[in-house]
Amino acid sequence: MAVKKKNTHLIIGGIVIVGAIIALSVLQLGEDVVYFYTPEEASLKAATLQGKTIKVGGMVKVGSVNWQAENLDLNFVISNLKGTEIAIAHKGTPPDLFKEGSGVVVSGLISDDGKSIKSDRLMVKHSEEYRAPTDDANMDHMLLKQSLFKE
Amino acid sequence: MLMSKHNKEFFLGLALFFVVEICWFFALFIVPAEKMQGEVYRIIYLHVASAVTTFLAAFILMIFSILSLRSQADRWMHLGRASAEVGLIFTVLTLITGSIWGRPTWGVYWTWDARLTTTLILGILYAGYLVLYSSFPHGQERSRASAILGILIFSCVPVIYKSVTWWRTLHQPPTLIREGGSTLSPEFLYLLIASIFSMVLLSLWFISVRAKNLALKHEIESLSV
Amino acid sequence: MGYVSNANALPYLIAAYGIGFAVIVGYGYFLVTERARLLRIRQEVKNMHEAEPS
Repeated sequence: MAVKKKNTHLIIGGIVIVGAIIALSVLQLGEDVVYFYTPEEASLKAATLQGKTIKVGGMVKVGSVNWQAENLDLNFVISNLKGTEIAIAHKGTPPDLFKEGSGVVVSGLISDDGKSIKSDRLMVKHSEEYRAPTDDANMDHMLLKQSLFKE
Repeated sequence: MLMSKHNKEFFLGLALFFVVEICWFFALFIVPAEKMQGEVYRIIYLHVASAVTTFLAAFILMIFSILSLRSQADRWMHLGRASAEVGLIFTVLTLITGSIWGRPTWGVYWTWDARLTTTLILGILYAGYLVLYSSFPHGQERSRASAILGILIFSCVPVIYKSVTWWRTLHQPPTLIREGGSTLSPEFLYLLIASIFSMVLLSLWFISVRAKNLALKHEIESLSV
Repeated sequence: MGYVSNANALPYLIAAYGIGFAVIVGYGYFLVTERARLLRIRQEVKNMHEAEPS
């Protein structure tokens, strides 16, 4: 019967599409199950992470930012605020919220000594705090640290 | 008599729409800018309201799904179908507004972190519900199959909500419901709550009207047999 | 660095709220016109049935 066949096809098609997209999403999530490493984790694991594009999250070390607008070279250091630091080399204009003391997640290739990363993507990670200009409360760095260096 | 009932419904919808617009007016022109993000943070009032709306739609979908398993009344199916549709619309809106907000702040339109990915999955599941629903003619089979998926869909919501707490994500942790109270300045907090409420009420109106339209459609089909 | 300028923010605000507006107005419009259409069709079907009582 033509109608029943059409329905079956629709169902199967629907389930296959839904299933495929879910699988894809889960797989993508799987690769990034560690969505980003902390500087400590990345530098410890550096030898095993050679050739893999990884993400590392940290705080931009104050005083470390070097931005050359002519050739779009951006160099800075990320830190876990507990002594582990990684030098980042990025090509391209940083996001507006990027600055010294902000949180970042960089994506790129780590050197085998775990001391530097050649970054292909730079994302700013900010805290969940939203304050009016007149509001003095400031938990930003504390919240950011909690969220960046979880576990 | 017939007209005035529909008119009342229409004017209710119009009123709810205006309340939403008033919230947006406050969001864009009245509340101050944010200390760090400046003006662009204002998207929060639309983005968070959409997200809460879609979570609530999933909850409602689950309730209607359970009710439709226990009773043969058509009304639960129409309400479920309507909730899934509205849920999909607001999931898409959440993802789009979030993406637009992400570009100038995070620096990217998208990333596969747990929050964004699970929200995308929710949208796909809503779409899957609508596809499944349309694959069956009116009847028990459709009712059962949709209800099962409808109940499953809500199970995603706690995962989505907790994703920023359980895993490391680019998306920031919850702002409203958190230990120690919200991290919003008072004027932001009040407007955000008002924005959420008004959007939720509008979405409930959407669901109610759409369900009635589906019932009308079904009635016409039965009359025409 | 460290701040999203107003000039930069504007296109994003317009895009986000513009899309939000379009979605809720569009969906609301669809619902209202669908209701009107269905009511009209139901009335026509009922009229047809009354016209030919078979």
